[in-house]
Amino acid sequence: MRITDAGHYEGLKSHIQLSRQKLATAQEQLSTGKKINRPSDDPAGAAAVIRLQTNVAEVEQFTRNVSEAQTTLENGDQALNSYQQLLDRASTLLTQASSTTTLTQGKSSLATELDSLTEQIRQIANTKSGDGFFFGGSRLSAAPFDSNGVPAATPAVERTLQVDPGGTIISMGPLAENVFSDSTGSIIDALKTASAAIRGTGDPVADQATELGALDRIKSFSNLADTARTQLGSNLAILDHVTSRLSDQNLSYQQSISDTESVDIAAAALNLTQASTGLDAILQATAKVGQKSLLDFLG
Amino acid sequence: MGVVFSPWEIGRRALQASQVGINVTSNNIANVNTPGYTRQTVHLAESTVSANGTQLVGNGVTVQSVTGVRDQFINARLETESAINGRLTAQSDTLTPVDAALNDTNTSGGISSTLNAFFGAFRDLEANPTSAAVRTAVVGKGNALAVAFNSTRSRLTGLQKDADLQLQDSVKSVNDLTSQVATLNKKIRLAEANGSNTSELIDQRSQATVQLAELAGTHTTQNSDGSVTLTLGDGRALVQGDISNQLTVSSQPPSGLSQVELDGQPAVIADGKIKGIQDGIASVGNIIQSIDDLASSVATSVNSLHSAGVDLHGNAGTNFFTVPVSGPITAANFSVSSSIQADASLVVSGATGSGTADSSVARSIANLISKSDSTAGTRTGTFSAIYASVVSDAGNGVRSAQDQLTTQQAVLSQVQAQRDSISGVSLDEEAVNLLQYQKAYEAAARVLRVADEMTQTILQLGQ
Repeated sequence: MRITDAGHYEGLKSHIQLSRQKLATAQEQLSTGKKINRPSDDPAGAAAVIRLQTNVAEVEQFTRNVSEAQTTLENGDQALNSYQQLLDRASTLLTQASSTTTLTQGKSSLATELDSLTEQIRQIANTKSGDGFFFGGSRLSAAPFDSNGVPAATPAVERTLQVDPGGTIISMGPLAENVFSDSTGSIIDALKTASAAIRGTGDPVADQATELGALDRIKSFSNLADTARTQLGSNLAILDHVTSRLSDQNLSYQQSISDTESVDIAAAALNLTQASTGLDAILQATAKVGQKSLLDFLG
Repeated sequence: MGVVFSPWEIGRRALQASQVGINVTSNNIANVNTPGYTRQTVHLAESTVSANGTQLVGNGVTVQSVTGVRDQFINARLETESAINGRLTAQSDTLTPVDAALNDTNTSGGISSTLNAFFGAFRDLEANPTSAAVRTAVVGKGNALAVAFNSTRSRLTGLQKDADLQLQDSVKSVNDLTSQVATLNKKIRLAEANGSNTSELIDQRSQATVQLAELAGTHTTQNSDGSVTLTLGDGRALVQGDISNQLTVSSQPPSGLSQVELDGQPAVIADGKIKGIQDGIASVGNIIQSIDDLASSVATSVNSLHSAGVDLHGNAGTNFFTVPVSGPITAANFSVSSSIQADASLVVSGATGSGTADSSVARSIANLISKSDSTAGTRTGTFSAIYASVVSDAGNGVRSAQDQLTTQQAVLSQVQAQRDSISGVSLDEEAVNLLQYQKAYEAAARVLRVADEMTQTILQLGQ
């Protein structure tokens, strides 16, 4: 094959170009730390990264929601705990009041304290959660109990929250209808009736019966609160479990993303060195070979 | 012819031949870097032998012709490979910017990340169904998603328009070149008829036909009168003899993209840059269609859930994304409904009849992101997987165009090397030729001096 000058130089140019391209690629990978710098670098890898990034976004979102839900449920548990202490105190007051040795003056102060307990219980039942009510479920329009202690008329359903990509749904707290009321009526009504009985309605025998009946009611409400707290506790346990699972998932997705798009720095550095050596070699060859010509030797 | 006068004549012819040789050599050297130049050689021959008594003595040398050293077969291959190279280059050039337009793995604000953020905002709403602030955030993320769809699409249509301008430019170049070829056809035909050297003209025409092949994949046929006929992919002639037919472009509704026509009929461009641009525009069109399908699917799915629930005031929900009065939802008209933009409390969280603090609709909408049987056009999967497959297809398109181009460049440079090997100028060879003709010239001059001395001798005899 005849080697011609123009062809020879074209060849040199294209070799230098190719070598420079390799160098540029190695340099880009090393400086970005990624082997996928645009979809065409690895179309399947780029698609995988997009899907994984969605998974990560989802898991991070769930992690935020779970942590909020934990706070909410813990607050609810706190509220129920205070409620139970108030019920205990009410129970003590009623026991004292129903005792035959208690004097009428003493009864009046017991009734006053019981009224204050009732108001505190009403406030606990109306505990806020965000713009709504913790025990209000899906009902936003009205508090569970109005200022007179009358339960809200609108029906409500329990609020629920999905906490993981798998679709686990937990309850975001019991309804006031199921904790502060039962088929007979609300705790507020029960305590109000008891308070009236302690103050005396003129029939001491009936009043004492009412007081003793109220003690039974308090007991059964305390049981309801226990059930609700157990439920909250088991939901909190689920959330703990979900949190650790989400964090594992997040880690594994991040790991996959990194495996797919991150460059092995050592390999990239080696590539860069190779490309740079290759370019040096070609440039050197060009500089040398370019000088050779018969014309140099003719006088 | 007399004995004394033969050396004069032979010497004169030898000088002349060497001079032609030196001229041709210097012309070759001068054109060492001229693209498409074919090296020329001098064909020398003995002059007709004449009888001198009983002896046959040569009459010196004559320059028979000066011709270019070319191989028609290699030129034809060069055209074919240039056509493929032109197509792949244009395709790769058209598609490469698509890579950047869909480069979601490295940038926030792309379709993928805004989709995630949008559905994440509904997940937030599920946790805080009564919050006005979260609703405002939902609308904000919806707007960001709309911007991502709108801008990606307009970037892609922008690419199509840019490519279309290039196509129009290329058609202009084709028309310029075909007129050149027609003119050269005529010159070559006339020159050949009176036996002149046509090498330069043929070089110019070969340059033009290779460029035409690279632009429009034209096919060249050599005619016996020295002219060439250039045909398109559909067999219609662009150049025939002295006549060139002009290509025209007409804008096609509704896209406004160009159609290449010959004689008012759509022209079939089989290869070359124009074909590459057309392919590139079509590929970008497919990507646009996929993005439109995705936008439509997202909007329709969200709307159907959103309009079935109740807003913060307990009123029936409306469409979250605007549904155009006529025509489908596309990535171009994708937008959050103006009433929801004006009042974020219209964002739906609860199911009808479950109270305004319910969040079951917000949950259903948030779960759309991982719903694995969503469909957009011919694609099925989660929205993210659908988008990922669009990106992957686009990436594959770019990748394969670039890979094919790399291979083709190697093929083309090999053919070019082959052509150079036959037709290219080697300075070393020319230096040797120069030396050769120079020595011959010196020798011929010496012959003349001898002839001169002989003549002097003869003349002195008569004194």
